[in-house]
Amino acid sequence: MKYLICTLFSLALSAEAKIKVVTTTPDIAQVVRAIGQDQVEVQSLLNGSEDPHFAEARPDYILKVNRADIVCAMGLELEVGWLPKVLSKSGNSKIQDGGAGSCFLGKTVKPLEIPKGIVDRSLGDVHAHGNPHFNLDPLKLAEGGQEVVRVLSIALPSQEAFFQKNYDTFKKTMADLHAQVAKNLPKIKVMEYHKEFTYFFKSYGLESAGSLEDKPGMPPSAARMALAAKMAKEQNVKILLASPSAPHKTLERFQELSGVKVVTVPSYVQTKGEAVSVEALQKILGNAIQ
Amino acid sequence: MRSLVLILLLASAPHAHAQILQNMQSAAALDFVAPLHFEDSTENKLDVRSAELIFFGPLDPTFDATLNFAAHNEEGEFVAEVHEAYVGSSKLIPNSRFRAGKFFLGVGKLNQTHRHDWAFVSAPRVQSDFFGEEGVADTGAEFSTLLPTEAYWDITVGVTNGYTYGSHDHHDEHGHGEGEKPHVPTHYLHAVNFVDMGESGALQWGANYLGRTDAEELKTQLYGFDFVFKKTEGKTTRLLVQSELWYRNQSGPGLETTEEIGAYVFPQTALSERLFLGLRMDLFSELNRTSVSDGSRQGNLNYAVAPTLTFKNSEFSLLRVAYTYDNQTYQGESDTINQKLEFQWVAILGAHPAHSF
Repeated sequence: MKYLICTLFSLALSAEAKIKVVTTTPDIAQVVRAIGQDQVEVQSLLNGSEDPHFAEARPDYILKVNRADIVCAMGLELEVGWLPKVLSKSGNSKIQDGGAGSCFLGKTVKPLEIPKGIVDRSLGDVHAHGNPHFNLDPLKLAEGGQEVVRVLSIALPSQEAFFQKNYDTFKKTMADLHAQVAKNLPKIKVMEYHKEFTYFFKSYGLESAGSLEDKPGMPPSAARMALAAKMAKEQNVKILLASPSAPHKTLERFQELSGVKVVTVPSYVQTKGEAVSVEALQKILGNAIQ
Repeated sequence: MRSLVLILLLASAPHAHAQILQNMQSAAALDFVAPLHFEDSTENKLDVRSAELIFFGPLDPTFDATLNFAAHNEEGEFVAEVHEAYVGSSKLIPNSRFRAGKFFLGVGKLNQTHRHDWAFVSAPRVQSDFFGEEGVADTGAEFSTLLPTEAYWDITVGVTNGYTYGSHDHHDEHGHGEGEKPHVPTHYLHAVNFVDMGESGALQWGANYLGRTDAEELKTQLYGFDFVFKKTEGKTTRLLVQSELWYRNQSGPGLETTEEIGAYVFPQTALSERLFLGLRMDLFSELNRTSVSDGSRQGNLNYAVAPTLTFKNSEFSLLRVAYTYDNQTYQGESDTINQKLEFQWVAILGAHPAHSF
């Protein structure tokens, strides 16, 4: 009996010792699980079907963040419309900006498309620190993993080497995945509805004719559609990728005008469905291009 | 006008010292409204209903601060005033946050949402009668805590000076003047719960109490219920249902007790990513109104419907048109009908703070 109690007690202790990590997207949740392994308990606020630009500061998010040791977000202003409210209403000092549990993967990523000159809203929803959709490039996602190593090591310094070793493995897994997907990708000319596939295109050397949105976050006008369709025809664009939140009628109209194949694909790992991991999502995107 | 110039100068200061004040964010919100009253055209004009300047950011590693100036057109002159000026923290007390200073009281839904962020143009009667056109802002302290329960329970309590409260005049945006020392300061409680319905949507509801006894010993007690339901797909809120129900009881020495009840419900659906159609329905009744002629209880009901169409050009600018049909009925008297069309344009410059659910 005494042995049983001791075993249960030690099990309880080990369960308590797990670092509670809340992530904004399932993509980051996978990174944290890969690096933290059995030392972390991870849950994602979003399920991958939402647009992280426009998520809501839902009270259930506030509750999850309230009980977290670490909150990991993409950063680069992707979650700026709702995450600050979630953090401030959580009453959890650890995970606030500057706290030991504050983790933004974008801090360790070299972003693409950092705007130059004066940045204002006449340019649309431009992110001053660069394009935040780096999750679609496995190599960039691995870059972001360094931030996860940093915060996990602060939370559990005794496991720093363990986290670093796991990170190295994760980085290699992402590099292998990248090589595998790259092997089968034809070098065709592509487009995107919103600039959320830019990292994927760039990483795999796919030449992009740009986005259908003239300005980020602003649905294209009829004139823009006609111009983009003409340009797509002239430049022999083969495919346009869009996420499920892009307006369907606009996409159908563009396909009619341009003859370019429009494919709707997830742009984040999802907690349900086919894109349940970074690997699965990369393969879906790779298949869409073929 | 002079004060507005001073504010604008203050607003331009951070640019000159960007290195020092880079953590201070600023925003400006312009709210243009043009009402077209069918029965009385004296107020039919395009006007800047409010021009707000908001500054917010961390003071230091522990505290945050918010400063919000708003200017309203009051008898031809834009009078700028401090709407909110408070310091608070969510880092000092575990699971809790607090603020001290001047702020819109944390009760209900509309009262703690800046008017340019409302889902419709004008206040329903229950809001304008119980809180003023724009809401009750007062100076005091407010404390909120998340209960350590499985479900989300956020409890807010607050006490404010209570020298002024809302507006006593419907044409006033909210109370002005110094007021008088109340017998019991304004105090309130707001308990908020959240229900996640998965793919069907999410519901937040709250129960409210607010009390105050003014300098003339008029005791006011308000009990309220608020809820917001949202079903979101991708980036679009496909369905929004927002509602508040309030009951007010006022009594005092030498005064007859008055009881009033009012509510609104506003369902809104997305017609597209940028176009939204809503219909607000308002009810208001004085429960113990008596007839002037014989002193008997006089049945009465004020009801209104306001279909509202909103076009969001972007996250930072929207155009809105609303038609309001308002009917005041008193038993034994003929109905008073008021109709109006309202056009609204909201424009936000700069870094607007993130919104609550």
